[in-house]
Amino acid sequence: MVLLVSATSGWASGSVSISTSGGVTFPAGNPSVQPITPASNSLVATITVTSPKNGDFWNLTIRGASSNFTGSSGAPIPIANVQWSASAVVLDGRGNVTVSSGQNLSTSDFTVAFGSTGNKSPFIVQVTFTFTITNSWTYDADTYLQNLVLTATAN
Amino acid sequence: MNKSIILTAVILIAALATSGQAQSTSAASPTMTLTVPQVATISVSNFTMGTSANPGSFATTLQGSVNLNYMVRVPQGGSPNAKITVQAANTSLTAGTTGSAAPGLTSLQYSATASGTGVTANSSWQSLSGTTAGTLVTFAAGTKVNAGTATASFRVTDSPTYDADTYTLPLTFTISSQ
Repeated sequence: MVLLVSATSGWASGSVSISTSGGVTFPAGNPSVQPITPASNSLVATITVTSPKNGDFWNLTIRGASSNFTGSSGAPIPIANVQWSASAVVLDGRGNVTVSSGQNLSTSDFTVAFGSTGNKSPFIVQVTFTFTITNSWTYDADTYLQNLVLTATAN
Repeated sequence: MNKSIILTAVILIAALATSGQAQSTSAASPTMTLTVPQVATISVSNFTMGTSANPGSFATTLQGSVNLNYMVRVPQGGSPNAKITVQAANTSLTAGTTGSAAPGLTSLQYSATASGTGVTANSSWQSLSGTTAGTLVTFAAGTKVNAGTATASFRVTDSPTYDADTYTLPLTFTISSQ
């Protein structure tokens, strides 16, 4: 019995890791001129699955760490005013990727991309996010911060 | 002997099923930065104060006004310098005809009207200056106006020394958001 269990542990699914290209910056200018403000940069998330097996599944989710942007003096701004869209490409390995339609950001995990892997290691997928924010005259002049949470899972 | 082989096979299947449920997770938390800038813009057109119809009573006949269209976003921690000011760009009025005795700057006064939350106009008559900016409108901290209009009024105090002529004076209107 013991020998059999030990031998099958080598068949476990691969491990996953995620890295990002940096942060996202919104230079919100005059809302009358630009009511929908694009972020000044894209966010690239790279998901790497090492030692994947045929038919393993992976996915990437996104959410806001909290429900509002917060600043030093300005009133909080809901992160629901942020919209994201994504595209993805398989950079290495065998497998596939499907990307979901863009959404408004929330504090609940939303599956951005998912797929399955082959048995070539590593399996690498690059997901590129573009963000916009609905600008408003109700926003106070300030600098606001909030974190995104990107979670990659493989099983 | 046969029973022992069958038991081993069952255990193997169970172990494989368990390994198929293994899950690996990794997370990243990039930062989003939203910069909402202060805003302060103003536009104003040339205007005519009027034509004197009754010498000796300029204060009532030579009073003109102009609309100031502005946009402002004052930080919550901003003010008290968020305001619209006016200042004469010259120290005297320019006459249309050389030699005409023109009204001095001290004979010109201004006042303003405006409305809105956090918007306060200086409605009392003040002397215009060529060296110091006078305040027309002040904005409270946190004031946000995307399309505001204030009205600046100007009048001339009459004097029998003024020659009949047309006089011009450039004015500078300034808006600041803090």
